[in-house]
Amino acid sequence: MCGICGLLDAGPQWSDPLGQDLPRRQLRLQQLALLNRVLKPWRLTLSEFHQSWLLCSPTGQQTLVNSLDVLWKEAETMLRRPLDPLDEQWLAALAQET
Amino acid sequence: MSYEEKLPLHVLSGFLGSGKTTLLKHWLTQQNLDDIALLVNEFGEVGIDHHLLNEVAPDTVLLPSGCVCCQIRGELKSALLDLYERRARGQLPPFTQVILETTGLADPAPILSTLLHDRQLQHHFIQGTLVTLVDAEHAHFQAETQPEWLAQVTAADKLLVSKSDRVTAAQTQALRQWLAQLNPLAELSETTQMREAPHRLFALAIVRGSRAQRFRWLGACARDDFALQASTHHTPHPMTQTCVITLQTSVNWPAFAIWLSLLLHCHGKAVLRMKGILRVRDSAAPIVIHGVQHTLHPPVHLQDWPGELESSKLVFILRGLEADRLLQAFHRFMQPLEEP
Repeated sequence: MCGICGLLDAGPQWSDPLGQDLPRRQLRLQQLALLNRVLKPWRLTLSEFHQSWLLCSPTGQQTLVNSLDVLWKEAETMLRRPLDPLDEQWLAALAQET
Repeated sequence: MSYEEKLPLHVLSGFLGSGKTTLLKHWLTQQNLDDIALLVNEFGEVGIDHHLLNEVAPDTVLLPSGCVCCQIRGELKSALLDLYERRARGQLPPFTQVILETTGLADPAPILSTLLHDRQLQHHFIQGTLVTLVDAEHAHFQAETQPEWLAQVTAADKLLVSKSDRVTAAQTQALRQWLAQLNPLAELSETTQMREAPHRLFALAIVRGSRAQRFRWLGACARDDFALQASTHHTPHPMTQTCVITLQTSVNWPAFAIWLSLLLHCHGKAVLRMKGILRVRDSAAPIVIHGVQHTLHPPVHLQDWPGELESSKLVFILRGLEADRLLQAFHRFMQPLEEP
């Protein structure tokens, strides 16, 4: 739990970074950078906020998320459509980013 | 509580009339099952199964009403915690395992989800073996008419064919081949072989044993059994496809976890079962992952790489999702994210 704002974290997740060589915070930042690359074609951004993530839509909507499951759910609510990892356009946009 | 002290929760599943209660009753009357507590859940207001079992197992707990899928979080949780507290207070013998008999209409995925996501239950219980009974006489009819049947079969760690005495040997053999195709990850046997040996079915070694005992399916991965299964899916009942992803290089775990969580979020209903072993960049030890539909177990770190396996392998059992499409999407996703 965040000591300042009282936010509860979601506890250990199966998708948490596995590395033990780097500090946990650095691993989380690497995960965050990857997530932002994944979210970019949908014009969504994610930033760190007291051990949670702050998800922002292009129209200024914001919400706090504390796990990947919640992230996808909230992103779909913002975009009002499903996020499909098999979607051709999204995969093409992802490849173009690099 | 340490991992060693947690109690395994085994699930006995199977469609209506597949013989779950008969088998349990046989075990309870014939075998010494003092170390096993039993939870029974059934559909309908009159708990017939409960009365049958209660004759021989007075401590059987009946989940009050409805299907375990719908009522799962409240009822299963309180029944399990109640059982645990009574054991701790000495009101019940110090059982070491719990068997949950589900209703014939239950999808096992929400049961696993409850166990994995509830913090109180996580503290006291671990997932044991998921056994599904398949009625040899009515399997094909149930498969065609009842979607729960396939969910039960594909979620299973072990499949038991029941009532094989009511069909011919050739029909049983054909059913076994079909089941092996639907769920190549499960061990297959018949109730006639298991009637005398419940401890083999729910062996503690499956939960706490060596790597070979806990992950017997890794042997099938090494033999490439699944590649064979994938090519023979054109049967009279083509209900599932098996998608096998083989990777020669180490995987970027955070990128893989993002892809898998997004896939399960969007297509969880179509991914009936998945298992895999991964060589990841962040860890010298291989990682074993497995899940049922939306529910994924925490990754397990193995001590070392199994000798017979050389590359990462992921096996997906899919319904209504093309294996080739999944394979291509996986590589297209991972390729750009593998780069720094």
